[in-house]
Amino acid sequence: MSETDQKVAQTAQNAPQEPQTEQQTNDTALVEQGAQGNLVAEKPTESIMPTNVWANKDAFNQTLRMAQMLSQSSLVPQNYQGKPQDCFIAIDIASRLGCSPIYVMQNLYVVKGKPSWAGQACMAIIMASNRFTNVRLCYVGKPGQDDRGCFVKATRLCDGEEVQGTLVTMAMAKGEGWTSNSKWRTMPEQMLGYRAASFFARLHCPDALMGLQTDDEIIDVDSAKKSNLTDILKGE
Amino acid sequence: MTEREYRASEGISRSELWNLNTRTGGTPEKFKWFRENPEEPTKAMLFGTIVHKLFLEPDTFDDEFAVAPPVDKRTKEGKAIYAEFVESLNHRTIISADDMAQATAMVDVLRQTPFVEALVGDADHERCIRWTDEMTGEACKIRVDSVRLMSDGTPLIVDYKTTNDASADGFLRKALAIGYDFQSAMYCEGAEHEFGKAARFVFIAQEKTAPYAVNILEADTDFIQRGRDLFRELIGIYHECKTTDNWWGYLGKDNSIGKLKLPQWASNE
Repeated sequence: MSETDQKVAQTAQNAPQEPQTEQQTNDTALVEQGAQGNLVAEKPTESIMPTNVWANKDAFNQTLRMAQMLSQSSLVPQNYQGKPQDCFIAIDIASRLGCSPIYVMQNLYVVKGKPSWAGQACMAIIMASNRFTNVRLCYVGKPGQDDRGCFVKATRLCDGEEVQGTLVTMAMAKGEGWTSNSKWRTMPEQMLGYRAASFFARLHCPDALMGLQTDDEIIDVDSAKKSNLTDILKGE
Repeated sequence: MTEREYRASEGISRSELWNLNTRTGGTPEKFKWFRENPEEPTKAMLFGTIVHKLFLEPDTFDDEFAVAPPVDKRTKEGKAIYAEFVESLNHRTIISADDMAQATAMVDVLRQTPFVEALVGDADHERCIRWTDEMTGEACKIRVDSVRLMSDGTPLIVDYKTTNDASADGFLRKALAIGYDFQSAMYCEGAEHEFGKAARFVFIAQEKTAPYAVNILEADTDFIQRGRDLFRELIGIYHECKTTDNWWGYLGKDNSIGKLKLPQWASNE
């Protein structure tokens, strides 16, 4: 987070708690998103419910204006340029997650017709959820072997419990047919990490993913639908 | 069924439909012309047919092809031997000893390639499949190089291609340019009608120059889907042209003058 952002965040946190108009509520919610967007939770914070843009006319119009502005920017990813509708949804998701719309745009794409998170976004989403601290990837087994695996460990802020996600191993990837996706052969360590993060999120903060899968999950499952021909022919 | 009998039989084939693809220079006008004036196979096409036959149907190879004897036709003796050979042809196609040697060498490499036997051994070769397209009611036909049912009943279609570049990237470029995606989709469609289950489609691609490298590539879901969209489009055009008897050319169905527009890259120069 830049120095300016920090100042803005500070100002937002110190803002007087006076009754606000809907417009002001919305503005404050957006500044607070910036404060949460540091992606590293240091202390438990109350969940901030942003104004529901779908139920509030003013909030809707305000978000629409923002979406129109963003869609005309050459700094947003190309697939969002000229698409205020997509920018609108990205802003809504960002305000629910508590991160920047640009972050959502960079990490949310449509894969095989489904909106999905980039694999690397999961870890950041877990951190941005402000429910865990000391979030880390733990690798087990020998690289290159079937027992090589990864899981995510973290400290839950509400009770200080150490929690961990499902262990994802190469044997599991092979068994599920994910390895038909060539990335599992070319960069298995990275894929183990991404998958471990999405499994952790599904288990411990499923709402943070907003029901979306990660791009790699979609590609893997699609590849796995067709069992590997090489294996079939070898087995026949 | 020979190639000639297959061509003459009822139904629309893949190579005919491809002539309707306006993106690759085809039009209904050309489609109609080529249907009424079938092209003579080129030397390269003939060579492809030779390797196909030797690879997939070696038992009946001699019924269709005859290798020219290595004689000097300038000598009296050579002329006599050659005349006798021509006499004995009986509609078979003459192939040169060089072509035969190359085809044999290519098939030898194929036979030694892993999975080739598993893919095409114990399969039906050059099988004709016919069906009626539900949406248009048009009769369709395909002739597959090799098809067999896997243990779970899935039809496994194999198509053999000779090419200059059998690497995945090189083959993909060519495949998209000349409609192998369309072919895989039409063949899968036919196989599904015939066997009642979605098929898988595999290309065996082999380079035409030594060491005759072989690659085996399965058509991916997206690859087939692209072809399926094209199949629907082309059979739709065919159906409409047939129904309206309007076999339009470059000017389009409504006869209009097009615009020669600069592409983006040229307008930026």
